[in-house]
Amino acid sequence: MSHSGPAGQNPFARLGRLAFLGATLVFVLLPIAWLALGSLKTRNEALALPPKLIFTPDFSAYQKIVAQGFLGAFGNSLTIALSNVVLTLLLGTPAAYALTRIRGKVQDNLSFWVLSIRMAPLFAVILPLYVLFKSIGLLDTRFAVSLAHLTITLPLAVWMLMTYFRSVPEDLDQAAMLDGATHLQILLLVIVPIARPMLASVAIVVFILSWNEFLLAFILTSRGSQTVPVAVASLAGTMSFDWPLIAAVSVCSMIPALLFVGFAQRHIVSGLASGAVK
Amino acid sequence: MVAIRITGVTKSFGEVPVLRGIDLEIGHSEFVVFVGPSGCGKSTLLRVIAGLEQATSGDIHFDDRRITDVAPAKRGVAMVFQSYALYPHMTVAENMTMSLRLAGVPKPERRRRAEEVAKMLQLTPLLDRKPAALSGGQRQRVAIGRAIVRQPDVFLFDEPLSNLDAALRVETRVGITKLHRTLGNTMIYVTHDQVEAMTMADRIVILDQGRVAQVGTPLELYRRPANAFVAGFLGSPKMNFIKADEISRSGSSIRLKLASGSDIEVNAAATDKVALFGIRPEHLTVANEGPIAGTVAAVEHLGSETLIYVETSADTLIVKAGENATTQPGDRVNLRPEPNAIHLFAADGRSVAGAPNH
Repeated sequence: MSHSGPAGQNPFARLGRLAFLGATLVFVLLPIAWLALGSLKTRNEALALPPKLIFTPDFSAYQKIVAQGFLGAFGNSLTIALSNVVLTLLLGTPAAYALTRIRGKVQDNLSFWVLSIRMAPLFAVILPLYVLFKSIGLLDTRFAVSLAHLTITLPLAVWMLMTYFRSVPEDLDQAAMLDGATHLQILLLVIVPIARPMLASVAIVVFILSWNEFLLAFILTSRGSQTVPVAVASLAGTMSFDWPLIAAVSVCSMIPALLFVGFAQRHIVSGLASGAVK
Repeated sequence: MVAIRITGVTKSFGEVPVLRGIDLEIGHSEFVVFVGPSGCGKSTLLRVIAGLEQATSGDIHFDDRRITDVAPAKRGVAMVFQSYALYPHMTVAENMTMSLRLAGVPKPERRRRAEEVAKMLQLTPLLDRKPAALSGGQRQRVAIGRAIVRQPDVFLFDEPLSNLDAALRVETRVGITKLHRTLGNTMIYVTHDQVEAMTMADRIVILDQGRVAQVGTPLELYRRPANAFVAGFLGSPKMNFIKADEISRSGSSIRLKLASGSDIEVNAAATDKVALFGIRPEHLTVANEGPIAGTVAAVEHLGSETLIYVETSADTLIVKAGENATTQPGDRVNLRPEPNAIHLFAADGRSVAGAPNH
């Protein structure tokens, strides 16, 4: 972008860089473009080879999303993902803070255990989770999926936040302690405001993980609280393979994630902690 | 304004002892400086007084109140950190009045107090800025302001000047001394810089390996160091030490054989056997005749004074001479110690000679 720098001085390096960026863009954007185009075609057109580039757009797939009750799946996904973000941050922030600030053998081991949960393959916990949720009558509820997603997102969030909290100088905690703050006040008034960019990053990662998660949602739901990925998969499983509808649902499923990322990204500003020390 | 009494305080981190039994009394409104080499325990002692570290054993009293187990915020102390530790997301005014906010003081009153202190520290135009928009010296003043707003009984400073450049350090040093005169609080100041210690302190506490090496006024410590450690720590350049053996002793005079090869007669009423001879660079003169012979290795002209490094058969000695010293490297010279300024130490480092009087 800039006119200075090594790329600006050497036209070949600049050309090479552009070529590389172009190739990457093709890889990233082509599938999405194909998906978007596919959602606007009829079923025959969508599967035609070579693909037709010029055609009359057909919005019937999008009408089917409403007609066939897919909006419910979107509502489920959104509720599950958002509540998962809230739960993860509410539980993960104090946990990560405590694990970085309270020292001892227990804490060292505890922080490892937190991550070790993630080392077990998902398949290992699905069956116990299924039995558990069935016995307490939570099967096929959004709450169950949200709780199940916590097992994935919470350890991740705790680890990301721990890394960040460790970089926040402990002098700040102690200064606040001398100012008369309790542990909770230190966390809420000093640490959380500084950690806002990291909390936003964690929220994004957690939202996307939860939004796109398939396996747990597939096992734990049947009809009432199906999420979008599960709904899409069920489309592909039937005899008739409605490619434009799948494409349309996929396109729509990207929109909330994009909106959420855009919203959360505004909090990711660097240098919030600058000026604290030295 | 409280007096502090520290009795038998020890502190270990796991197996590592950092404080090995500190007994210390600090008077009302006194400015006391803890000084010592890194790792001597001075910061730890300060943090134990602040309550940020729990003493392993021993007691701390503020006047008659035992505060050993009292929470940091309830001790009536305010601390200025080496790193300043300002809240980066708050303005200068918010930083300074955080303690009031936590104590439930209403906002207008908080603002009034912030403005009052800001005026004192020339921070008024900066009250609504955030720390990132301040210079190092300004941040330092905010950190001090935050301590003042709390109106503490005791001010604690943990190497507050070490992040400032030399000129600002001198300026802030003077500022803090002035502040002490204005407020009259008890202040404890930790530094590794002996110049800060000498210039600011009412009394200096020199710490060495978790123990108090000596307590006294700056000049007491400079003139009558209790041991070789204190003698070597205070003074720049540091005191010259030469290993010595007693040859004979008669009344108030001791004859010593110095490791640099010469004999010297010292007038002192030493109590124990002398093993170390000490003389400060400013108390050595280059002369035609003198008991210590050597070759000049280097000469540093500092403007107002000249440092001459003289290699003897034992150690290199430093001589502080006037600005017009004409000695050249390579010259053979004799050094004469000022008789009244000689320090004698026993083998274990204790000072054994009577106080030199100069």
